Amino acid sequence: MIKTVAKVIKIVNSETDPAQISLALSLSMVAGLTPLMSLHNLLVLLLVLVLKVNISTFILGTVAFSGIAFLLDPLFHRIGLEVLTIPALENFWTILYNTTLFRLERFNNTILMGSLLVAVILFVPVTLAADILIIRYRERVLAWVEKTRIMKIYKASKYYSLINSFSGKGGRS
Amino acid sequence: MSRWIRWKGLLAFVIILGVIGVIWFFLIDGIVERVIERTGSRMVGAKVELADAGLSLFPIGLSLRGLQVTNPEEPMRNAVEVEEIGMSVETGPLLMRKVIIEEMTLAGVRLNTERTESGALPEREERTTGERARRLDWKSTGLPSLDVPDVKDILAREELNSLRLIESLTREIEDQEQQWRKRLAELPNRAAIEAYRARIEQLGKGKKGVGDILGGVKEVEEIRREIRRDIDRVKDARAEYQKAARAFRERQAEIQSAPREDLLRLREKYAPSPENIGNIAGLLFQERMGGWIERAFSWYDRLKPVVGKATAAGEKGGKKGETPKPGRGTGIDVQFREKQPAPDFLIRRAMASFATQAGEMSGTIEHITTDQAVLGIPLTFAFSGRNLKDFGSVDIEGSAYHASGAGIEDRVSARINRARIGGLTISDSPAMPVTLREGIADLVVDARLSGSAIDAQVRTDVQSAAFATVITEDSGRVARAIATALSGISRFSLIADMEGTLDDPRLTMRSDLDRLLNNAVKTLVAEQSERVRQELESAIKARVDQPMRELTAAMGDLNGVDGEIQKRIDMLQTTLDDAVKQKAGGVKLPF
Repeated sequence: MIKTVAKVIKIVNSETDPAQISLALSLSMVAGLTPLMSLHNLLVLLLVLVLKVNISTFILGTVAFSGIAFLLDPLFHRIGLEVLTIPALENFWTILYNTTLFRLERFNNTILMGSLLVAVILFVPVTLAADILIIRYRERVLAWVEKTRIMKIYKASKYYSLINSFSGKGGRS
Repeated sequence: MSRWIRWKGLLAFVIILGVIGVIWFFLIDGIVERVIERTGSRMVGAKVELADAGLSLFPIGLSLRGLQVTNPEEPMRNAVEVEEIGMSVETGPLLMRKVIIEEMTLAGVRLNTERTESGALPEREERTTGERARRLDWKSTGLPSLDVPDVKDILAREELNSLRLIESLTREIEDQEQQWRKRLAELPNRAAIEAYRARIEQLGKGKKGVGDILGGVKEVEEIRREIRRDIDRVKDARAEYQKAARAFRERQAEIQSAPREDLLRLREKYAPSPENIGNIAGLLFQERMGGWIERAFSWYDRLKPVVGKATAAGEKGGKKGETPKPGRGTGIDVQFREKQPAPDFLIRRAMASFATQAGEMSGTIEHITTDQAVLGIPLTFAFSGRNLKDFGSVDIEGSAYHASGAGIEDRVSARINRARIGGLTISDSPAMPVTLREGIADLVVDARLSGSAIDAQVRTDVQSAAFATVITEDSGRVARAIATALSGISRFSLIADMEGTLDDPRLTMRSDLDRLLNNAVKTLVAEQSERVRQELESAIKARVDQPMRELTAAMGDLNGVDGEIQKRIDMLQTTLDDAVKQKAGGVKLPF
């Protein structure tokens, strides 16, 4: 737990571009909320590796969102079921159902459809919101925290050295 | 662009895919093995074990080695053991998540093999789609007994209707007789009649003048009216009496047959009757046949999920308003219309050869799928064996179709020729243990399940038969008679018919042994029945004789009332006639 918290703090406090962190977070949301062994997660993996996004954020985010997904599965199921059974879309879904890619991806599974839909809808807002929050944090909170007496004492402590040694040196991933 | 693109990531992606592929390549066999073991164990209700599984990619295929399916009823034995299973999977349908196996071969199939450790599952679940809790009782009711309780005990515990009727009627008649005696006292009696005569005689004396004569006529007329009135009263009373007496006589006549009815009733209840012996051959074979049928039902319940539920074509879960409860984290797959409908899983043809204790049998099973509604073709199977040890030939074929709108249509036919039987226990009842020591049997089975209605027949013809029975000092006369009859039998046939439903099957059996065995027992039964009849008849007669005589006497007393009434009518009539003839003062009256 300490190691995880240390990692998160290290990432946010690092000099990594906030957009790289926020994009990694959004991609982890897609991978975490949707069933892991889905075909679209190969695309997500490709994007994570090819785009310069923060991989640590992606890994931590995937774990966190997987936990959230477990709790939200019933909601995703209901959303997916509603969407897949809209009469006006039946022809569309039928066409997709008869294509190989659709079937391999299992778009007709209610949880996959519901979770993917939610993840896609939230992708841009989460990216933007995370980006803003990280910038604000660095400008205001981090700077203020760095100046506090407690932080100075903390940085001087052996505990801080220990956490640093766990987190590794440097701020770039 | 380079700010955002990490070209080395592409290489990393390929490497990761490669690593995943390698891991999958090494792990997939184990995954397949575990899935088969888990799914198979759940279906069978006992351990299903696989020694090795091998998935090949080019071409796509699967081979399984060392499959053992435990017999859930005998956990230390395998129901079936297969050395090797090979199958090729069609690639195209696989991309559409459909597993279509063109051909599957099973080699080294053996039935009923021994296990080294128990194959029972730690907790055997109640499977909702399979086994049903069937409560059938094939226990034989046992051979008919010739034991009859003592006649005195019978009459001590049974009420005789005839006795009750006789006593009741006798009391009623006596009461009536008393009432009629009282009534007679109210009717004109001898004294009244004598009074009339006296008055009439008085009229005849000292009438000289016309006035006297006319007065006398008037008096006579008055007397006559009174007498007629009395006669009418008595006649009315007589009519009433006769009606009552007639009713009593009718009841008395009916009661004459009451003792016989008591005899018939008690005989029916206590005496063994040739008609009630029942089907002795059925009694002997019922438990054994019932046990085989139960085993067949049990395996049918286990194999039924392989063929799937009987649903209307295309009906699956996922539609709005008809959604089954989704598993946690799995959701449900909503189905849509397919351009080329195909089942999700299908084995077009499976060929197997298996070794039994008797020898090799081989056969094919076609169209194995749980989506028969989509396929539209029934599962069919055909197995045969020739020149088997202790069997001339075995042929089994059938079909199963669980998809039509009507539900289930299953059929199986089996022909077994010249099966050598040795030491087959027919009945292990303590009263009459019977073993078919040897014989050569031809067996024909035809069974059909349509919806939930069963129609099946098993016919067995046994030749060179030799029965063995155990007779002890405690064996009853029926058992001894049957044992004697069986000892002379060298051939017989047995037909078992089954109707009803899977939850309530009705088994009837008939055999040419019936006539022989029933005849052996009938004579004994008839003798016993006649003895009981005679004893009952004597005992009942002794009980009802005296009451019957009392009833007759009471009836006689009642008849006496009739005589008395008639006498009074006669006397009144005579007196009336005399009054008519009376001369008033010696003058003959013109009326």
